[in-house]
Amino acid sequence: MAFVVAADYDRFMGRYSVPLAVSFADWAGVQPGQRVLDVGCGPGALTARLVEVVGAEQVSAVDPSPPFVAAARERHPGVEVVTAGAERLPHGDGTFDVVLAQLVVHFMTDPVAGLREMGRVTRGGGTVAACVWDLAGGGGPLSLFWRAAHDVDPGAPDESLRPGVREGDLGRLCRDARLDTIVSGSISVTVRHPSFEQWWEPYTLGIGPAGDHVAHLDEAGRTMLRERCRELLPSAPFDVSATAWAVRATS
Amino acid sequence: MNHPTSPGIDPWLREILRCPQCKGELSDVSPGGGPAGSDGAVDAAGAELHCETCLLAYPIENGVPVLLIELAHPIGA
Repeated sequence: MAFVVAADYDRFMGRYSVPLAVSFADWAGVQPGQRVLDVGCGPGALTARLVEVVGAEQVSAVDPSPPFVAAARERHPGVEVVTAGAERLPHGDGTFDVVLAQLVVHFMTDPVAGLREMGRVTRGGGTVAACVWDLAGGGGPLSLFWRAAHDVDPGAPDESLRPGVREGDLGRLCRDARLDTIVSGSISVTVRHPSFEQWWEPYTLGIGPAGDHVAHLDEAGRTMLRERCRELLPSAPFDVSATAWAVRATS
Repeated sequence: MNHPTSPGIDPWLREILRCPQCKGELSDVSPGGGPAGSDGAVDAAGAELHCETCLLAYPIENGVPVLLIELAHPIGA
C-alpha cells in the first residue's frame, strides 16, 4: 500500500479521522490520570486527542510504518512513539489503563491476535477500544468515491470484505480475543467540504487503497471517475458524513 | 495514579518497552557493544536494544526503537 507521506495522509483521511478521534477517545472513556497506548497511531490523529486529555507524558504509541512514527514523534514531543506492530506489542502485561486502535483493525494481518495483545498490555479491568469505518454498510467517508469507482469500473477493488467493517464484526473479534464486557456502538462524524476540488484532490495523492486505485487509472479513466463523483455529490459546499463501528471491552 | 512530573520524558515510557517476542526486558547497548552509559545514550548511531533471552538486537534508528522481529538481527551477527 502507498502509506508513505504523513502530510498527504492527513489531507486525505485526516479530515475525517481527526474529528473521529475526539469522539472515539470520549467513547472509550479516556480520562486525565490514565496511561494510554495508541496502537497503529499513523501520523497521530488519535494521539493528538489523547495528549489533550491525559498529557503527553502519559501517552505511548506504536505504528509499523517508520514515516508515520517519525511524523507522530515530531508532532507530539514527549509521547514515546516506537516502531512496532499490533500483533506483537513491545510492552509488558498490564502496562496501560486504556489501549486504543483507531482505523487499524481492518489493516491488521491477524485482528484477533492484535486485540489479544491489546488486552494483554491493558491492566486488569482496564479498557481495550477499537473503531473501524462502516465500509461494508457504505458508511465510510470514501463510500461515495467507491460507488463512483464501481459505476465506472465494476472490477474496481472492494474494501467491504475487510475484517471489522461489518456491524458486529468488532464484537466477534473481541470475543475471539477473549476480552470481557464487550460493548459495541457506532460513532458518526460530519465534515463540510467547501468545493468539489477540495474534496477530490486528496484522492490523487496515492494514499491507501483508494489512492492506489486512482493512481493506476489512465488519464481518461481518472477523468471519467472524477466526473462520476461530481455527478453523485451535491453542489458545493456539501457535507460528508461517515460512521465508524466501535467496540470497547475489558481485559 | 499520581506520577511525579519531570522535565522531558517520564522514565516509565522507556521502562515499559519490552521484547515484542518474549515480552522480556531490553537492555540499552551502545555502538561499541557494551552497555550504554548512565546518561542512557540510546540515541547514538548504532545503538540497539538487546533481548538477552531471544538473542535479538533491535535497532534504534534516528532515536526511534524499531521493535519489529522481522527487522531485528541475531546478537553478535
